[in-house]
Amino acid sequence: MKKRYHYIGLFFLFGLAVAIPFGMNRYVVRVVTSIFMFAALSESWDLITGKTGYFSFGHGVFFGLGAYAAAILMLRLHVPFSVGFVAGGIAAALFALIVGIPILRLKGHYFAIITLGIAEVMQGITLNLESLTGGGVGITLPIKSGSMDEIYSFFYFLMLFLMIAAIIASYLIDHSRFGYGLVAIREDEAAANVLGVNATLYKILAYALSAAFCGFVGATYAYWITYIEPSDVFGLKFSISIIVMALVGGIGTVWGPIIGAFIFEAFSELFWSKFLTFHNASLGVLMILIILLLPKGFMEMIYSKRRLSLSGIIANLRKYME
Amino acid sequence: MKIRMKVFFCVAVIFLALGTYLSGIALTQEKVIKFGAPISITGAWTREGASVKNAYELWKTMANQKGGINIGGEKYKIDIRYYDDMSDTNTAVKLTEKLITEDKINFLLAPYGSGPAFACSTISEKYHVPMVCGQSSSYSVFSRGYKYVFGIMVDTRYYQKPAFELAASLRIKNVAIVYENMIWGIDTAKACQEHAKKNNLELIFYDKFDSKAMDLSSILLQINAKKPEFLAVNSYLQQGALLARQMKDLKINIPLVAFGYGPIELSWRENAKDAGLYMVSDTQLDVENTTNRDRIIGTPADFAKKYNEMFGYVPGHSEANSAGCGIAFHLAIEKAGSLDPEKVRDALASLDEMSFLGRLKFDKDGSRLHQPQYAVQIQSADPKVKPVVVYPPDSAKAKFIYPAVPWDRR
Repeated sequence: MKKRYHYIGLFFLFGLAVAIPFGMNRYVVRVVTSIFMFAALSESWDLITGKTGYFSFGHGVFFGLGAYAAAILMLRLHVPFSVGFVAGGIAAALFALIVGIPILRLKGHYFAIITLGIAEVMQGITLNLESLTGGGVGITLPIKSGSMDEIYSFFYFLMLFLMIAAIIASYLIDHSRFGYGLVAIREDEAAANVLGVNATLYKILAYALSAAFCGFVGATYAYWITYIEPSDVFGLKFSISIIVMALVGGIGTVWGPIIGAFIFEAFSELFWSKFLTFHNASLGVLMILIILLLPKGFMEMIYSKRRLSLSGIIANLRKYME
Repeated sequence: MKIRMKVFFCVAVIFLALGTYLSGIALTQEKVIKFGAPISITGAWTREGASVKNAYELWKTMANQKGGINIGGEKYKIDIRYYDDMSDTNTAVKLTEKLITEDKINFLLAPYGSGPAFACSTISEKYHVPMVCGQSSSYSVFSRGYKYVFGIMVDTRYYQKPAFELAASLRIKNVAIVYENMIWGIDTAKACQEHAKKNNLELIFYDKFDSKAMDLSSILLQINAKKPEFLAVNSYLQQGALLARQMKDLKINIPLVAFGYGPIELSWRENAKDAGLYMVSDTQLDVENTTNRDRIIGTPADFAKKYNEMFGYVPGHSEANSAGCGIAFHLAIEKAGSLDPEKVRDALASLDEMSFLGRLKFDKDGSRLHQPQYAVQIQSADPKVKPVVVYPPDSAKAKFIYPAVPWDRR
């Protein structure tokens, strides 16, 4: 019975999502497209961090790689976007495979720091390969043909598709042997190895899969915005935002990163329009409060027996202060 | 006591709500032209964004004090809606669209920086909303055939031209050119290469540095090894000031150091401190010029005086160019006699009027037709003392100090 309500709810939300481009103005469509983009990124980040416990601080590098791979192919070789899109995902996945083999041997803070370093290095390389990437000038992509409404709808539905694909991937992994292996790595990697889980292979596969999604999203973003520069796509903004969104929603869950992305972007839009100079500070304070009061994210409200109650909040605060 | 407090609180809330409602009615009864401005209030360009906002506010205040913009005999007040683009291009693009579709602004004042202006001009072009850029001089912004974007600043093709002409007049033989690796820096460096060729200066060093670099000593030591007579630097405020300070720390003596942008701004001089002494900068504003004038702001001196009164410091050309965006719209809207964006766009394209910034006339691509530029030199270690015009000779207010006094003799 409960599951039926879940499916009805999902169907309703999907219907709402499909209806938005036909009923709302273009700015709203742009904002919701952006939410879908961050939700897809956050969900893909959770594939590695949430499931294995390997905290990646530089996931934006795959987003940037996907964006530049698509942009370079479309601009220099005049390939259509479909080719650039696929190339973006493959480029990111291949890069994750190559760097993942050495860096996934590191654990904890060391892994986190090196992912940050890789993102900075890639930004530097992109800035200096002027003949290929345009360097500091950036790359201007061709504008998609069609009317404005067609263009907006195209990117809206493509980001929606990527978000749904990331959710499905996360769900299928959670209910597969591969997923159980990842959870075992997160709980105790040594024990997982002893029990026959090929931890190295599983981690690298999760990392590559996570990177591929980021690459697809990056390629789409480049074509959508039509102009990218290294500081824009390799900057920390994307890496940190998707981490915060996943934390707010609930790491290690299928729906947590999605809910977190919607909440974060919704509050961001609200504060932007109301507080000209203090919007960042206001949003920061709110996020800190959410993380303090709900350390496991909003999913805790749904699955915890206490739900959202004063006693639950006090218990969380006490646990945090111990 | 508790009940009295509750009553007081409720009454206060009612008055506040009523006041807000009434002020809303008062505003809506006035005729208003809405301008939209994504501004860098936070992020890497906070200082620059603040000066841009100040300049917009100065224009708005002075224009509204005189009744506003006259359209067919009716006066329209100016209202500017700001959003913080966080010095981020993607955010600036999103906010530009928000301003057009949600806030229903009439016209756009461009964000700070050539990168964001480049990206936002695509939105203004899509929606056919005229946008005037006060802080985007990169020619790339205007070279795409767009019809709805106009620029007040002299574009990057002409940056550092006075400094190179000054160098040629001093019979300087060679030049080193460095630039910040972003769109504006790259464009101005290319322009410097052309100036070097035209003025027969041998280019002995040409390289870039990162916008986020915290240490420029490596590139400075490479420059020093070449012993240039003239160093042309093309960077934004922060990196330029860092370069000046590190030249002092490393005791690198170069007879002439010129910046495309920087020393003219108070924030640069405060950052560089006495390391900026004798350094040269471009400017498009001669505060003592009395022939440039308009009926909204007056002369450059009036602009500088009013800006100082409102914000506590003497402005540079970037503040003047930002205020110039407002003046351009003001004159164009009155010329068009309408708020129709197509008519205002056509009025901007055909504008040819005098302003406190000089003649406002745009080329077919929207860039401003070349206006006189000046080279200024910092001749006081006090950052509050503004640099003096040293070139061209007929505009010079002081003798050019050359070569710069070596560091160990200061």
